[in-house]
Amino acid sequence: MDALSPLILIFLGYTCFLLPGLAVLSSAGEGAAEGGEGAAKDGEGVEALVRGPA
Amino acid sequence: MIFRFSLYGFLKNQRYFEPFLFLAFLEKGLDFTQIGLLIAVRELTTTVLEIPSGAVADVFGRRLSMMLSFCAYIVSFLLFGFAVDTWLLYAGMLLYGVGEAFRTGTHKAMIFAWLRDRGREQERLRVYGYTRSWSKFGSAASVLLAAPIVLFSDSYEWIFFAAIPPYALNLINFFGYPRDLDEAHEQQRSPGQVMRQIRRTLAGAAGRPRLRRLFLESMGFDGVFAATKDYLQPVLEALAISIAAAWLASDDLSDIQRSALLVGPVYFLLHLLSGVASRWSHRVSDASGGEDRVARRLWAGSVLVFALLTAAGLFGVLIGAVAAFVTLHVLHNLWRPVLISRMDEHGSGIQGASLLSVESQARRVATMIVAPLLGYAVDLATAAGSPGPWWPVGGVGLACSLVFLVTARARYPNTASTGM
Repeated sequence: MDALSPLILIFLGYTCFLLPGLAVLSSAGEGAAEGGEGAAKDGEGVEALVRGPA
Repeated sequence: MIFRFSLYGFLKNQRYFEPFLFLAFLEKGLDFTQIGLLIAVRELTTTVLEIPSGAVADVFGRRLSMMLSFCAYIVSFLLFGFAVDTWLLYAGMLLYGVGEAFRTGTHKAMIFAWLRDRGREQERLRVYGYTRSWSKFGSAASVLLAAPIVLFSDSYEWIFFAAIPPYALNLINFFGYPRDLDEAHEQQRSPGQVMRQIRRTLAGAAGRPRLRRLFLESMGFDGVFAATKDYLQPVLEALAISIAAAWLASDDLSDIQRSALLVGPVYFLLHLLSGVASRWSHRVSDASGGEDRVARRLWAGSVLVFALLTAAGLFGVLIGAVAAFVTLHVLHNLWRPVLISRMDEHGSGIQGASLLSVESQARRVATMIVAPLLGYAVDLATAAGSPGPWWPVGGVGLACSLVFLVTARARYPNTASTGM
């Protein structure tokens, strides 16, 4: 296995696990913003999610 | 901001090397005594720097303190990855300890400062729990990412390097933290003032037998747990090698690759169970009729688990040892919130942050002492040709848990009836 292969593995790992995780984390905020809960209007979606419905 | 706080937790736990740390050190030719000494160096560095690092955070700002911490981590990952000599590993552990000292407590203080500034202090538990849950998801994702890297690269080096980009991303994340989280307007504390506060806390705790006992319990449970938990890795490696012929099939796989096939799923399960245990700890406490009582039950559970680990280690029943280690992780995640809550209950009148700081130092001192001694004991058992060299790991925990179980029964005989 040449030296490039581990780099490709790491890149694939980020693509398959790290980026989807970050996307879910990010959309947790967006989802709450779309639902119009709590402080969603000021763009702090995740905070609304934590606080729950007003 | 809660997104940024959660992002911090998620990225912070992208430590791909963590489930393989002992195996990586063994692969570099270290024995268990040397690994124990490396852990002791990390704990010593963190303990020594914890007080001045708090003063640095107060004087220069918490954001800079976090950035310093993550720079130290990144250099330590590079050293671990490139290390061919043992002294480089010690240098890496020293920098890792620097990272720990500048990080621990600082980010939590930033979250609480942010809530305080917005008059949302009563949401502390909920917000902290939410951000902590993202740290747990980060751990689970990190195992899924690490195991294939080890499996296909047939090497442990790359999991150290792979941790660098998420840590660099977190550095960028800190640039988005507002300046007021530094709380520069608050009274700045010198190291001397911090030391005086610690002395006051110790003096306050010394006069309260229950609080004194809690410090000792923390050393006995958390300190010993930190020194023993990673022995799961060599046990899994031994198990993977022993069952390879049966159903891991291919002779083409190296020992490293066989380990990855087992370490990945077991650690993934372990993180999931730990997360559930953490969330359920308050229910377990309620169901047991109080925190002192649940603590006694956890000591009893710990005696059983360490007894199983000792027996499994002595007779070389590896699957039993793995089950014991997984259960131990679950017990620890039930234990931790209960301990913090008991500290809060019995430590009223003493500043909570100082109390927790002294508790974490006491815990580290215990790990610092136990880790090298345990490593030496395992090396001796291996040299003696014991069928399973892992029994000292169980033995240390068993002896410690028995002492606390017996003394808990003597000290809190009526907690069941009073519901304390």
